[in-house]
Amino acid sequence: MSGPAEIVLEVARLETRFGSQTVHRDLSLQVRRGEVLAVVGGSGSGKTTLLRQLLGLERPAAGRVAVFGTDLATAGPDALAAVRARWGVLFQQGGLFSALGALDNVALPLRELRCLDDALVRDVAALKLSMVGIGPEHHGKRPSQLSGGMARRVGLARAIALDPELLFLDEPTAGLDPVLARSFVGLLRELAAELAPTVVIITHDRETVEALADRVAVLAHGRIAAIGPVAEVAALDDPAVAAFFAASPPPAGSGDTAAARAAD
Amino acid sequence: MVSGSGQVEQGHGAAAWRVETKDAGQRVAVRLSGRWHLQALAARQREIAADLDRLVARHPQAGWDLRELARLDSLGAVLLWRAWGRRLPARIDLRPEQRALFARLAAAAATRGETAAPPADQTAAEESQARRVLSHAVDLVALTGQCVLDLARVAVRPSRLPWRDLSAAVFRTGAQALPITALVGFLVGVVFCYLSGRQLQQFGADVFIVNLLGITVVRELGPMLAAILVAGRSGSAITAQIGVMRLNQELDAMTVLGIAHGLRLVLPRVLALAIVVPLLVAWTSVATLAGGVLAAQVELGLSAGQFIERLRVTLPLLNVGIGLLKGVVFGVLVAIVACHFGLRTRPDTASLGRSVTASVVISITVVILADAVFAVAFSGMGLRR
Repeated sequence: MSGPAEIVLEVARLETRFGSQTVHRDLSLQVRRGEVLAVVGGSGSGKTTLLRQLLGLERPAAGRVAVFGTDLATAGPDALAAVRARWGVLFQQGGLFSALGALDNVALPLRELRCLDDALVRDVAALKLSMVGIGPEHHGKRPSQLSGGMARRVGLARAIALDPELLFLDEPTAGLDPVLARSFVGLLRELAAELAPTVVIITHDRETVEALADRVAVLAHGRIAAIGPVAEVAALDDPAVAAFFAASPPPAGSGDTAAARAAD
Repeated sequence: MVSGSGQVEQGHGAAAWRVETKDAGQRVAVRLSGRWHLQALAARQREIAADLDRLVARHPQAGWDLRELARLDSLGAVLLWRAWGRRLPARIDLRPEQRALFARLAAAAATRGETAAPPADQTAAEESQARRVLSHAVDLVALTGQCVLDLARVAVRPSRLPWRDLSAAVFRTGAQALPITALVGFLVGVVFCYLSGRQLQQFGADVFIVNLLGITVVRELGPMLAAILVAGRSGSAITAQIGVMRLNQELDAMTVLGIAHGLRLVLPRVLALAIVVPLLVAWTSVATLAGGVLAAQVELGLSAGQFIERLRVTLPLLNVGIGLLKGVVFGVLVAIVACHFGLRTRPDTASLGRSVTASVVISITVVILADAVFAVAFSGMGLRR
């Protein structure tokens, strides 16, 4: 198997621009195999855009994003398909297909491989749903008929349908009440132990970070302000880090200071 | 492997197993090795499943050893589970995490009662056709009534009407529809004039092409063409827009904020189409007549001046009024049907598609029905004998 220091995901000197606005500037990040990395930052710090870059949904203005050693911007369709079969994504809004039932939503990535028997696919999908605690009575339900917490679980089941080596979670607990959020974090931890994937969590929730993450990267002013084990980073006295770990909302106007810093 | 001890190695790529027999075939052990995961299994899943089935059939009492596996994911586990007949073999050696995985599978299988729950659509389909049509009719009438009430409310306090929405809707449904309606009208005019001119020529009645074209275009063709184009172009857009608002819970948000759908969404669109469609009717009619003028000149040698002079003499002005009135009514009908199907959209994408289709089909049907009513109601007016 791979050594412990293998780099699964690498971002090198990434720059993202929308028109004249620079979201990321000279951002570098490495994710090692098997670790759980949380990317945190205040709202507007470019977390979601960073995730879109990591998933190849956005093209870098400069720099590169490589997943499993494949540069997403230059890879051909076959190479991209190979990468996409090895990762799973839980979107913040779920991204569930509203025309399909829960089971079919989870079965879809398996069916898309186009080489598995349907009976087998249904068994695997049912297993994934039971892993996230969704019973067979909900298998036929459409996303609009599921509660928010259940839809999130189905989304997670779909994200792990292919037993991904790399799992992206975008704000996994956003919009869930604290009890539900805690149980969802518990579920994530169980699954992380069971499937042992590399996990990248984008979040603004401190509790999620402390419960799940091995390392934490603080995103501020369009670059990584600090990265390291959670306890170490929490002890730093960088203002961006402190703003997050003080569990208080970032001071108003932090976006302006970001622009000011980026300008110099 | 009938007797003695021996080993058979088998496998497909990274996923492999070894069958060991001891004590004259009395004790068989199957040792799995390699990676039993999706990437290795997916392409050869059928062969592996068949091989495993054969293996289990030949050695039902075999002991299984999964401890040497480098990797076992859900797909691998389900493959084995199915080969074993959905239960763990009597003799098996597992690592703890593998045991947990199979325990999950057993639990999932135990609760698998009515896995094939009826899809939500079926219940909807069981609802009788007649009742659905009736409920649509009731909703349409209610929406129309709501529109009248809202209109009265706006008449009292004009500031309540979202004027900005209205003007945007007028621009989108009207100004932006000018090129397409002109093109379609012009071409229909050319074709119509050319074909009927040929027929009239046989009776030496060329010049009556103007009578024919004038009355048909201004009274019938212009309003119909405009209404059908608006239904396809703007009706579908209205339904899709309101339907997506349902998907995004924007409609719920408006309700909660105390913003009435009728006043904010429906009325501006109904008013916009009531204003725009008669104007488009006039525009389309002119374009169609222009096409007729061109074809008459080329085909029958009728000059544009003669055409227009004869049109002035033979076409009672009342017909223009009827055409414009039809425009208003058709515009209102298309807008109400489009809004109705937009609001009836359920929050899933398939429903959105059905709504847009239904909106276009129903609004065109309703326009043609209304046209028939107009034909009966105005049968004695504007027609020279």
